[in-house]
Amino acid sequence: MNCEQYRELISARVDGEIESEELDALEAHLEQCPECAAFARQVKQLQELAADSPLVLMPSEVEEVILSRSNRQQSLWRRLFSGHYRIPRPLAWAAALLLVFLSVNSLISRDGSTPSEHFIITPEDSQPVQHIVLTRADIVQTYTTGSTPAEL
Amino acid sequence: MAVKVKTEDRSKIVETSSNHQQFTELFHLYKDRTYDFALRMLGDAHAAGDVSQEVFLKLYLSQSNHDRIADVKSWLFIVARNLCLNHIRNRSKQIPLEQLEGQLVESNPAVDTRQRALRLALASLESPYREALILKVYQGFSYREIAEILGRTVPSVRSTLFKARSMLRDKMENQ
Repeated sequence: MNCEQYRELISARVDGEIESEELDALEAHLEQCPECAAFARQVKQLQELAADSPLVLMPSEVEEVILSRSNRQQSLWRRLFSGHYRIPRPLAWAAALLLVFLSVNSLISRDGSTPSEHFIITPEDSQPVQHIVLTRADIVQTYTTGSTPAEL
Repeated sequence: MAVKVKTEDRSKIVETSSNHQQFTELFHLYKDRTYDFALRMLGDAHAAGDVSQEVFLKLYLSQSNHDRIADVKSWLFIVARNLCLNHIRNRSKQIPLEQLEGQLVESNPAVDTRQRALRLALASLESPYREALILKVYQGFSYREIAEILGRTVPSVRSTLFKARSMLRDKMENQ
Protein backbone atom coordinates (compact mmCIF):
# COMPACT_ATOMS: atom_id res chain seq x y z
CA MET A 1 0.00 0.00 0.00
CA ASN A 2 1.24 3.50 -0.79
CA CYS A 3 0.70 6.73 1.17
CA GLU A 4 -2.38 7.71 -0.86
CA GLN A 5 -4.05 4.41 -0.01
CA TYR A 6 -3.17 4.86 3.65
CA ARG A 7 -4.68 8.36 3.56
CA GLU A 8 -7.89 6.90 2.26
CA LEU A 9 -7.82 4.65 5.31
CA ILE A 10 -7.29 7.73 7.51
CA SER A 11 -10.44 9.25 6.04
CA ALA A 12 -12.35 6.01 6.58
CA ARG A 13 -11.08 5.85 10.18
CA VAL A 14 -12.44 9.33 10.90
CA ASP A 15 -15.78 8.15 9.56
CA GLY A 16 -15.71 4.99 11.66
CA GLU A 17 -15.81 2.84 8.53
CA ILE A 18 -12.54 0.95 8.69
CA GLU A 19 -11.94 -2.79 9.11
CA SER A 20 -9.83 -3.97 12.06
CA GLU A 21 -7.05 -5.38 9.88
CA GLU A 22 -6.95 -2.10 7.92
CA LEU A 23 -6.70 -0.21 11.18
CA ASP A 24 -3.76 -2.29 12.34
CA ALA A 25 -1.94 -1.67 9.06
CA LEU A 26 -2.69 2.03 9.20
CA GLU A 27 -1.44 2.50 12.73
CA ALA A 28 1.78 0.70 11.86
CA HIS A 29 2.24 2.98 8.86
CA LEU A 30 1.53 6.18 10.83
CA GLU A 31 4.34 5.38 13.23
CA GLN A 32 6.80 5.48 10.36
CA CYS A 33 5.34 8.15 8.07
CA PRO A 34 5.26 11.74 9.47
CA GLU A 35 3.49 13.11 6.35
CA CYS A 36 0.58 10.73 6.71
CA ALA A 37 0.53 11.34 10.47
CA ALA A 38 0.24 15.09 9.77
CA PHE A 39 -2.57 14.41 7.30
CA ALA A 40 -4.33 12.35 9.95
CA ARG A 41 -4.13 15.22 12.45
CA GLN A 42 -5.45 17.74 9.93
CA VAL A 43 -8.33 15.51 8.90
CA LYS A 44 -9.23 14.99 12.53
CA GLN A 45 -9.21 18.75 13.17
CA LEU A 46 -11.45 19.36 10.16
CA GLN A 47 -13.84 16.69 11.37
CA GLU A 48 -14.02 18.27 14.83
CA LEU A 49 -14.56 21.71 13.35
CA ALA A 50 -17.41 20.46 11.15
CA ALA A 51 -18.91 18.57 14.06
CA ASP A 52 -19.18 21.87 15.96
CA SER A 53 -21.29 23.40 13.23
CA PRO A 54 -24.91 23.54 14.37
CA LEU A 55 -27.78 22.20 12.31
CA VAL A 56 -29.38 25.05 10.38
CA LEU A 57 -33.08 24.99 11.22
CA MET A 58 -35.72 25.48 8.59
CA PRO A 59 -37.06 29.05 8.81
CA SER A 60 -40.60 29.23 10.16
CA GLU A 61 -41.88 31.01 7.04
CA VAL A 62 -40.70 28.11 4.83
CA GLU A 63 -42.30 25.67 7.23
CA GLU A 64 -45.61 27.53 7.08
CA VAL A 65 -45.59 27.60 3.27
CA ILE A 66 -44.99 23.83 3.07
CA LEU A 67 -47.72 23.00 5.56
CA SER A 68 -50.24 25.33 3.92
CA ARG A 69 -49.46 23.86 0.49
CA SER A 70 -49.93 20.34 1.79
CA ASN A 71 -53.21 21.39 3.36
CA ARG A 72 -54.40 22.77 0.05
CA GLN A 73 -53.46 19.52 -1.65
CA GLN A 74 -55.66 17.69 0.77
CA SER A 75 -58.76 18.33 -1.33
CA LEU A 76 -62.16 16.80 -0.71
CA TRP A 77 -61.39 14.06 -3.21
CA ARG A 78 -58.21 13.12 -1.39
CA ARG A 79 -59.98 13.19 1.94
CA LEU A 80 -62.59 10.83 0.58
CA PHE A 81 -60.29 8.38 -1.13
CA SER A 82 -56.91 8.72 0.53
CA GLY A 83 -57.36 10.25 3.89
CA HIS A 84 -59.22 9.99 7.11
CA TYR A 85 -62.63 9.49 5.51
CA ARG A 86 -61.41 6.94 3.03
CA ILE A 87 -64.09 4.83 1.35
CA PRO A 88 -63.06 1.16 1.15
CA ARG A 89 -62.23 0.23 -2.41
CA PRO A 90 -64.69 -2.74 -2.63
CA LEU A 91 -67.49 -0.47 -1.47
CA ALA A 92 -66.58 2.13 -4.07
CA TRP A 93 -66.64 -0.53 -6.80
CA ALA A 94 -69.97 -1.87 -5.59
CA ALA A 95 -71.46 1.63 -5.66
CA ALA A 96 -70.16 2.20 -9.18
CA LEU A 97 -71.60 -1.10 -10.44
CA LEU A 98 -74.95 -0.36 -8.79
CA LEU A 99 -75.06 3.01 -10.51
CA VAL A 100 -74.38 1.43 -13.90
CA PHE A 101 -77.03 -1.23 -13.29
CA LEU A 102 -79.66 1.34 -12.32
CA SER A 103 -78.84 3.46 -15.35
CA VAL A 104 -79.27 0.53 -17.76
CA ASN A 105 -82.39 -0.67 -15.98
CA SER A 106 -84.05 2.72 -16.26
CA LEU A 107 -83.76 2.49 -20.05
CA ILE A 108 -85.77 -0.76 -20.14
CA SER A 109 -89.53 -0.57 -19.55
CA ARG A 110 -91.38 -2.87 -17.24
CA ASP A 111 -92.82 -5.01 -20.12
CA GLY A 112 -89.34 -5.78 -21.27
CA SER A 113 -89.35 -3.53 -24.32
CA THR A 114 -86.40 -1.30 -24.93
CA PRO A 115 -86.85 2.44 -25.25
CA SER A 116 -86.42 2.31 -29.03
CA GLU A 117 -89.48 0.02 -29.37
CA HIS A 118 -91.73 2.81 -28.09
CA PHE A 119 -90.82 4.93 -31.06
CA ILE A 120 -91.35 2.42 -33.92
CA ILE A 121 -93.70 3.97 -36.51
CA THR A 122 -96.26 1.53 -37.90
CA PRO A 123 -97.78 1.87 -41.42
CA GLU A 124 -100.99 3.21 -39.85
CA ASP A 125 -99.06 5.96 -38.17
CA SER A 126 -97.45 7.03 -41.35
CA GLN A 127 -100.45 8.57 -43.11
CA PRO A 128 -99.80 11.73 -45.05
CA VAL A 129 -100.20 14.82 -42.95
CA GLN A 130 -103.02 16.24 -45.05
CA HIS A 131 -105.31 13.28 -44.12
CA ILE A 132 -105.42 14.31 -40.51
CA VAL A 133 -105.86 18.01 -41.05
CA LEU A 134 -109.42 18.85 -40.18
CA THR A 135 -111.21 21.56 -42.02
CA ARG A 136 -113.49 23.99 -40.22
CA ALA A 137 -116.47 22.19 -41.77
CA ASP A 138 -115.28 18.85 -40.33
CA ILE A 139 -115.12 20.32 -36.85
CA VAL A 140 -118.60 21.79 -37.16
CA GLN A 141 -119.85 18.42 -38.41
CA THR A 142 -118.26 16.61 -35.51
CA TYR A 143 -119.81 18.87 -32.91
CA THR A 144 -123.28 18.99 -34.47
CA THR A 145 -123.78 15.42 -35.66
CA GLY A 146 -121.33 13.47 -33.54
CA SER A 147 -119.87 11.78 -36.65
CA THR A 148 -116.29 12.05 -37.80
CA PRO A 149 -115.11 12.95 -41.26
CA ALA A 150 -114.96 9.97 -43.59
CA GLU A 151 -111.23 10.15 -44.04
CA LEU A 152 -110.64 9.70 -40.31
CA MET B 1 -22.94 20.15 17.71
CA ALA B 2 -22.88 17.41 15.12
CA VAL B 3 -26.04 16.17 13.53
CA LYS B 4 -26.79 12.74 14.89
CA VAL B 5 -28.68 10.12 12.98
CA LYS B 6 -31.43 8.59 15.01
CA THR B 7 -30.95 4.89 15.32
CA GLU B 8 -34.65 4.27 15.69
CA ASP B 9 -35.45 5.15 12.13
CA ARG B 10 -39.19 5.34 12.09
CA SER B 11 -39.27 5.79 8.37
CA LYS B 12 -38.48 2.21 7.37
CA ILE B 13 -41.10 0.48 5.28
CA VAL B 14 -43.66 3.18 5.34
CA GLU B 15 -46.82 2.48 3.46
CA THR B 16 -47.35 5.80 1.79
CA SER B 17 -51.09 5.45 1.66
CA SER B 18 -50.83 7.08 5.04
CA ASN B 19 -52.86 10.11 5.87
CA HIS B 20 -52.12 13.76 6.22
CA GLN B 21 -51.17 13.33 9.86
CA GLN B 22 -48.40 10.92 8.94
CA PHE B 23 -47.08 13.40 6.41
CA THR B 24 -47.00 16.06 9.10
CA GLU B 25 -45.06 13.77 11.43
CA LEU B 26 -42.48 12.98 8.75
CA PHE B 27 -42.24 16.65 7.90
CA HIS B 28 -41.45 17.64 11.47
CA LEU B 29 -38.99 14.75 11.77
CA TYR B 30 -36.93 15.64 8.69
CA LYS B 31 -37.60 19.29 7.84
CA ASP B 32 -34.48 20.73 9.49
CA ARG B 33 -32.11 18.11 8.14
CA THR B 34 -33.51 18.50 4.64
CA TYR B 35 -33.22 22.27 4.80
CA ASP B 36 -29.70 22.09 6.28
CA PHE B 37 -28.61 19.77 3.47
CA ALA B 38 -30.06 22.02 0.77
CA LEU B 39 -28.53 25.13 2.34
CA ARG B 40 -25.06 23.58 2.51
CA MET B 41 -25.39 22.26 -1.04
CA LEU B 42 -26.62 25.54 -2.52
CA GLY B 43 -25.30 28.13 -0.10
CA ASP B 44 -28.47 30.10 -0.73
CA ALA B 45 -31.17 30.34 1.90
CA HIS B 46 -33.90 31.27 -0.59
CA ALA B 47 -33.03 28.40 -2.94
CA ALA B 48 -32.79 26.00 0.01
CA GLY B 49 -36.31 27.01 1.00
CA ASP B 50 -37.58 26.38 -2.53
CA VAL B 51 -35.90 22.96 -2.67
CA SER B 52 -37.34 22.03 0.73
CA GLN B 53 -40.81 22.97 -0.45
CA GLU B 54 -40.46 20.81 -3.56
CA VAL B 55 -39.11 17.86 -1.60
CA PHE B 56 -42.02 17.79 0.83
CA LEU B 57 -44.61 18.46 -1.85
CA LYS B 58 -43.27 15.43 -3.72
CA LEU B 59 -43.48 13.40 -0.53
CA TYR B 60 -47.07 14.48 -0.03
CA LEU B 61 -48.03 13.60 -3.61
CA SER B 62 -46.27 10.23 -3.36
CA GLN B 63 -48.29 9.44 -0.29
CA SER B 64 -51.50 10.50 -2.01
CA ASN B 65 -50.65 8.33 -5.02
CA HIS B 66 -50.06 5.33 -2.74
CA ASP B 67 -46.43 5.04 -3.90
CA ARG B 68 -44.45 2.68 -1.75
CA ILE B 69 -41.26 4.13 -0.29
CA ALA B 70 -39.00 1.66 1.50
CA ASP B 71 -36.95 4.25 3.39
CA VAL B 72 -38.39 7.74 3.66
CA LYS B 73 -35.19 9.28 5.02
CA SER B 74 -33.07 8.11 2.08
CA TRP B 75 -35.87 8.99 -0.34
CA LEU B 76 -36.03 12.56 0.97
CA PHE B 77 -32.29 13.05 0.54
CA ILE B 78 -32.27 11.48 -2.93
CA VAL B 79 -35.00 13.91 -4.01
CA ALA B 80 -33.34 16.86 -2.26
CA ARG B 81 -29.99 16.05 -3.83
CA ASN B 82 -31.48 15.79 -7.35
CA LEU B 83 -33.33 19.07 -6.90
CA CYS B 84 -30.16 20.76 -5.65
CA LEU B 85 -28.16 19.48 -8.63
CA ASN B 86 -30.90 20.70 -10.99
CA HIS B 87 -30.82 24.06 -9.28
CA ILE B 88 -27.04 24.28 -9.61
CA ARG B 89 -27.23 23.34 -13.30
CA ASN B 90 -29.97 25.86 -14.01
CA ARG B 91 -28.37 28.68 -12.10
CA SER B 92 -27.63 31.32 -14.66
CA LYS B 93 -24.36 32.18 -12.95
CA GLN B 94 -22.44 30.95 -9.98
CA ILE B 95 -23.08 32.87 -6.80
CA PRO B 96 -19.87 34.52 -5.62
CA LEU B 97 -18.38 32.70 -2.67
CA GLU B 98 -18.46 35.84 -0.55
CA GLN B 99 -22.21 36.07 -1.10
CA LEU B 100 -22.66 32.42 -0.18
CA GLU B 101 -20.65 33.00 2.93
CA GLY B 102 -22.82 35.98 3.84
CA GLN B 103 -25.99 33.90 3.53
CA LEU B 104 -24.58 31.10 5.61
CA VAL B 105 -23.36 33.46 8.29
CA GLU B 106 -26.76 35.10 8.34
CA SER B 107 -28.26 31.68 9.04
CA ASN B 108 -25.76 31.05 11.84
CA PRO B 109 -24.50 34.27 13.37
CA ALA B 110 -22.53 32.38 15.99
CA VAL B 111 -20.01 30.77 13.61
CA ASP B 112 -16.41 31.75 14.21
CA THR B 113 -13.63 32.47 11.75
CA ARG B 114 -12.57 28.85 11.38
CA GLN B 115 -16.12 27.78 10.78
CA ARG B 116 -16.50 30.46 8.12
CA ALA B 117 -13.30 29.29 6.45
CA LEU B 118 -14.59 25.72 6.46
CA ARG B 119 -17.93 26.74 4.96
CA LEU B 120 -16.19 28.75 2.29
CA ALA B 121 -13.88 25.86 1.42
CA LEU B 122 -16.81 23.44 1.36
CA ALA B 123 -18.84 25.73 -0.90
CA SER B 124 -15.94 25.87 -3.36
CA LEU B 125 -15.77 22.08 -3.80
CA GLU B 126 -17.29 20.43 -6.84
CA SER B 127 -20.76 18.99 -6.24
CA PRO B 128 -19.75 15.29 -6.08
CA TYR B 129 -17.28 16.02 -3.29
CA ARG B 130 -19.42 18.55 -1.50
CA GLU B 131 -22.51 16.34 -1.39
CA ALA B 132 -20.54 13.35 -0.09
CA LEU B 133 -18.94 15.42 2.67
CA ILE B 134 -22.23 17.04 3.70
CA LEU B 135 -23.99 13.69 3.86
CA LYS B 136 -21.20 12.17 5.96
CA VAL B 137 -19.93 14.98 8.15
CA TYR B 138 -23.03 17.12 8.69
CA GLN B 139 -25.81 14.58 8.20
CA GLY B 140 -24.10 11.56 9.71
CA PHE B 141 -25.09 9.01 7.09
CA SER B 142 -23.16 5.73 6.82
CA TYR B 143 -21.20 4.87 3.69
CA ARG B 144 -23.91 2.41 2.71
CA GLU B 145 -26.62 5.05 3.04
CA ILE B 146 -24.56 7.62 1.12
CA ALA B 147 -23.97 5.07 -1.63
CA GLU B 148 -27.73 4.54 -1.86
CA ILE B 149 -28.49 8.26 -1.97
CA LEU B 150 -25.80 9.05 -4.52
CA GLY B 151 -26.33 5.88 -6.57
CA ARG B 152 -22.73 4.74 -6.14
CA THR B 153 -20.85 1.89 -4.56
CA VAL B 154 -19.47 1.96 -1.01
CA PRO B 155 -15.80 1.89 -2.20
CA SER B 156 -16.58 4.82 -4.49
CA VAL B 157 -18.05 6.77 -1.58
CA ARG B 158 -15.01 6.02 0.55
CA SER B 159 -12.65 7.17 -2.19
CA THR B 160 -14.72 10.32 -2.89
CA LEU B 161 -14.70 11.28 0.78
CA PHE B 162 -10.93 10.87 0.96
CA LYS B 163 -10.43 13.11 -2.08
CA ALA B 164 -12.95 15.63 -0.73
CA ARG B 165 -11.07 15.85 2.56
CA SER B 166 -7.75 16.25 0.79
CA MET B 167 -9.14 19.12 -1.29
CA LEU B 168 -10.79 20.68 1.73
CA ARG B 169 -7.55 20.58 3.66
CA ASP B 170 -5.66 22.20 0.77
CA LYS B 171 -8.25 24.96 0.46
CA MET B 172 -8.20 25.63 4.18
CA GLU B 173 -4.41 25.88 4.13
CA ASN B 174 -4.47 28.30 1.21
CA GLN B 175 -6.98 30.67 2.78
